[in-house]
Amino acid sequence: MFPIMPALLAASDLPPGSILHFDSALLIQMGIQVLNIAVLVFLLSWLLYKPLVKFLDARTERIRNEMEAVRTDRNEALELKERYNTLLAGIETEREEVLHQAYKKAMERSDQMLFDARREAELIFERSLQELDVEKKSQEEELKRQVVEVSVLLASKIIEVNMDRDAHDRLFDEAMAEWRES
Amino acid sequence: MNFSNQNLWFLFTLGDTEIYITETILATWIVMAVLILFAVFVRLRLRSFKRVPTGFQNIIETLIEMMQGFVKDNLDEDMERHGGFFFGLFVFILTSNYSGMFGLRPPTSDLATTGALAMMVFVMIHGMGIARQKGKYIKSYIEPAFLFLPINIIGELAKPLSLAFRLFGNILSGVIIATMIYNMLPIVFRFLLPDVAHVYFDILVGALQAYVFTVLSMTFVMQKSTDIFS
Amino acid sequence: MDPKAFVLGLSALSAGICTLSGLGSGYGQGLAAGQAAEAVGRQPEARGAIMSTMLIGCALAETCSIYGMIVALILLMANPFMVFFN
Repeated sequence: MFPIMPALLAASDLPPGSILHFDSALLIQMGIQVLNIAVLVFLLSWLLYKPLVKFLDARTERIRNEMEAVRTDRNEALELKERYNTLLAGIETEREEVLHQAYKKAMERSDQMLFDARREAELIFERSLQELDVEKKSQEEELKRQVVEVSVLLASKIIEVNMDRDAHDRLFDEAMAEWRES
Repeated sequence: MNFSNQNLWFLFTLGDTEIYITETILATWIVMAVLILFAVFVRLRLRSFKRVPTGFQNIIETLIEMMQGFVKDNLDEDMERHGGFFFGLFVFILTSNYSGMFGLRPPTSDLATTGALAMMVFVMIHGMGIARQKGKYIKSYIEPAFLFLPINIIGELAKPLSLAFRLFGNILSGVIIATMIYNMLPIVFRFLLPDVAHVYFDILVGALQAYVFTVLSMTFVMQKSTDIFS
Repeated sequence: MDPKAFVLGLSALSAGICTLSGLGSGYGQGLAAGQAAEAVGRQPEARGAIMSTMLIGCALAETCSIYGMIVALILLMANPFMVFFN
């Protein structure tokens, strides 16, 4: 921007200034400037620099502490994770072991059961066969007895009608032969 | 064309020299007012600063962290509590250099201001040197041999002189060139075209010179207050 | 010949000669910048440190040309020899 101050403020009756002058006026102006700058530097350092540096330092310290805490927490977490991982791996093998055992046991059990069931079935089968045999025998017995009864009845009837000794024998033999064949 | 530092108001007479309020002093007051208002504003806002910076807080924090970076790079542990002094110098020089863009005559384009700055740094150098080095401070003038005493004294005097003249010369050359450009251009072009010159002479050189002044004064202070020969 | 004009003319001439002090500092700054570029090329990760060191060195090298400029300004704007004519 164009220098505006002299145009606005300079009183016309004052002696013109200069770019640089080595005289006692320079020394006095320098003294004025020392005062100005000392005040300014003091105020800036007191108002701006020190509080802000304190603020930043406090924050840095807090962040560092937090980072430290986070780091220790992380290490702890990593340790825990490591431990759980080893535990988990142990559990995995153990689980497989248990499963295997259970499987084996179950297989044995089922084999045993199958074997038992088969034997029982065989037993039942045999028993029923035996029963059948017994039944058959008893039926035969019964039949024989009935046949004998019937034949005795028949024979007695026949005998009652016309019985001679020869006929009777013959008949008896024939009946016996027939029964044997059947 | 008038490059000079105008007298604005008569202040007082001391002996036979008349002291005036010059453009420089008025500009210094304006810069001071702006900076102090800014500092008070920031100080009041500091209570509402949050842990996660946003917007305005970001700018302030960047500034402070940059300054802390300078301080940590150039000063030792014990000197870091004087970082506020160098921070004040840096902010004042930077704002003064940039005030040329807002129609002021930069206070740093006057030898009185840069001389005052260099004088403060001079006091800082030797005050710190005496406070921290004690006997070794006097001994440092006759290192490496007694013959070097005048050279050492001249070297010590040359430090603030070179600081003052470097800042003054750089900013004054910017002011002269800006004034020349403004006088060269017709009034209608005075708003945009000189910005190119302002970008270089005010923004770039201004920031660079503020940085150089601060870092060099830090280096000088450290040089005198640590025992480099042991 | 007007002695005032003679002094003023020689002052202007010597102001011109004063700006020659820029030669040395220009050469020095060029060297510094070149070396810095070389250093950055060799060690790109140390760019920040090299830059700040170079800027400080350049500012120091610039000082003597600034002295020349100030002497030139004094001769042009606040000519100390004029006191002999009032």
